[in-house]
Amino acid sequence: MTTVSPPAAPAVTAAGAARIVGLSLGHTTLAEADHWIRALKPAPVLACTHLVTVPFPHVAISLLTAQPVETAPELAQAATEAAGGRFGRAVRFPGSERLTGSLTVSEILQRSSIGRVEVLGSGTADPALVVDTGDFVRPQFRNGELVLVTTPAAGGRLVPFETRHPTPCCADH
Amino acid sequence: MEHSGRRARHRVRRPGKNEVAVLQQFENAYDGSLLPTTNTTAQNEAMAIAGIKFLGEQVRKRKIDGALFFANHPARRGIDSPHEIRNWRDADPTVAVGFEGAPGHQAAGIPAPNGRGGARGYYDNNPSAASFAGYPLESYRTWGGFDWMTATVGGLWDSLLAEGKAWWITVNSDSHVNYLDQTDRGPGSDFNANGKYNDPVYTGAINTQAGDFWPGYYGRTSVGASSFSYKAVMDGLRAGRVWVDHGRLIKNLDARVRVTGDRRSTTGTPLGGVLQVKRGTSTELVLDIDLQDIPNWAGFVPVLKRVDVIVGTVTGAVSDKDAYTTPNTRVVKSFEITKTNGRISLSYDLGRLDKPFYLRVRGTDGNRTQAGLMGPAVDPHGPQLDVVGAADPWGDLWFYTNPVWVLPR
Repeated sequence: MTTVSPPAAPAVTAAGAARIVGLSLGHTTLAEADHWIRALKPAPVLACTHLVTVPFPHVAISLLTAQPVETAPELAQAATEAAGGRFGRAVRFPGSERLTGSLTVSEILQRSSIGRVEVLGSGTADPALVVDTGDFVRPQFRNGELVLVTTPAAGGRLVPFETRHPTPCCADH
Repeated sequence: MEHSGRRARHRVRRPGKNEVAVLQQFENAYDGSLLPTTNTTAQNEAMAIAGIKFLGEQVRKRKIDGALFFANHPARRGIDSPHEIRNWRDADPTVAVGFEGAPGHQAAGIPAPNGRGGARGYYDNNPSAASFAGYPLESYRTWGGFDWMTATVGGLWDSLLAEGKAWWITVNSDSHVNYLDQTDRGPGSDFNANGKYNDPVYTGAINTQAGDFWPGYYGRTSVGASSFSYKAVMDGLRAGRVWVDHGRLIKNLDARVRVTGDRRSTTGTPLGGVLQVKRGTSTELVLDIDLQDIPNWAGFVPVLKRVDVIVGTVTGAVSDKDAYTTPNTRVVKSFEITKTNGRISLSYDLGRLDKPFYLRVRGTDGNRTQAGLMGPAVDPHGPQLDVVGAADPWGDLWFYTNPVWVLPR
């Protein structure tokens, strides 16, 4: 198995049906790729980023969509890698728009297709723990399951491992 | 010391008449931020190697007396792959000698409202296009304030030491904008145009959002040097005669590996050194630590609670240059410290030499520990994952030494 399938994906190949496609616009950062994904209309059911190294290190994208997509020929290999990627970082996924504010682990599991919430270095998170989402939730596929990794934060809460504004390289010099 | 755009290194050079010219040449030719974003990983890596070789060349041509390269915050963005670190070392081991064991920016996790409430060390990043894909998420965070590469017993640093090659750790304030500073960069500053910021001006406020401490305020790199000259300090750094601590946890440390029973003050192999003895010779670690007796800059006298001895087999060169673990390194002994002042002398019998090995030492105030990432059999009481927004650095103090090797003659 090389492709990613969310629970509701139909396997039909008739024209116009949603299918997983890979593409690359040569985005150099996750933020750029996220921005492009979030501007898509209609919003795809599922959109993931993939860190690829060909032809140079950059961010490629996979989408579950019925829309046509195009990739420049020199980036085709990256698009292919993204389409077959098994560890995509999900930017849009079922329920993603409902993961805002502070939610318990249990609520996150109920509201979205995230299958598991973990605490870095500790294993599965207690369902009662509160996650301050910061309105920025980027779970990752692992063995076909969407997993959100969190880290402990002040006040006994959790925060998603990935934050919206990580410290940039060589900050503020 | 200075940073090259895309990744921070500090390079140490001894002041001399060609220093500025060499620095300018180096920055112009090897600044990572000037490389095209369409470069492949191999192209970027080759540039770094060329930069190290350039520095070594300047020393051989006697343009400068010495140059040292330490990688800052190596795990912070996952961009320094294990093979890249090995390649730096092998490009010129007289120049590329180590990395930060702990990053600067240690005030960044001080809780709001007194502090920034961010991530200790500014380690709040995640895998990016430039990251080595093999690094686990754990590597992007600090552990007891230290970088995962160093904090993990049996981890990346140990996998380098197990090759029987030198690789040292330092700590560094990475001071740019300091916690509680009452000044700000002068108005109208233009770093890109002027190469510096304008002189600081008083603001009338205190900066609680800054993540850095003043140099020496929290992190210290202690170097065994034969004199206070720049050259002597650099020689000590290059030799690995170095230990590091946070919050002035200890006052002084003298670690030597000795042939068992030879306690003469003039003998013993210090940190960074290699003791070569015939197989079957009995050796011991003798550790003298002067406990701290004056308050640190947070205003209290730290209390050392535990000292760990870590030993690893030297297994020789790795077959996979991206290896970041080594199976035979673990904490072999923990000393619980009950004395609160004066000097403690600890010794640990290293046994009769069979396989070559190295050892290193770690100590802590004991406030925050958890089993290490390689499991409790390797490290039962290692440093704990730092908590975002609740990482008071004064409440979690560690010291680390560099290694000593014992090899058969």
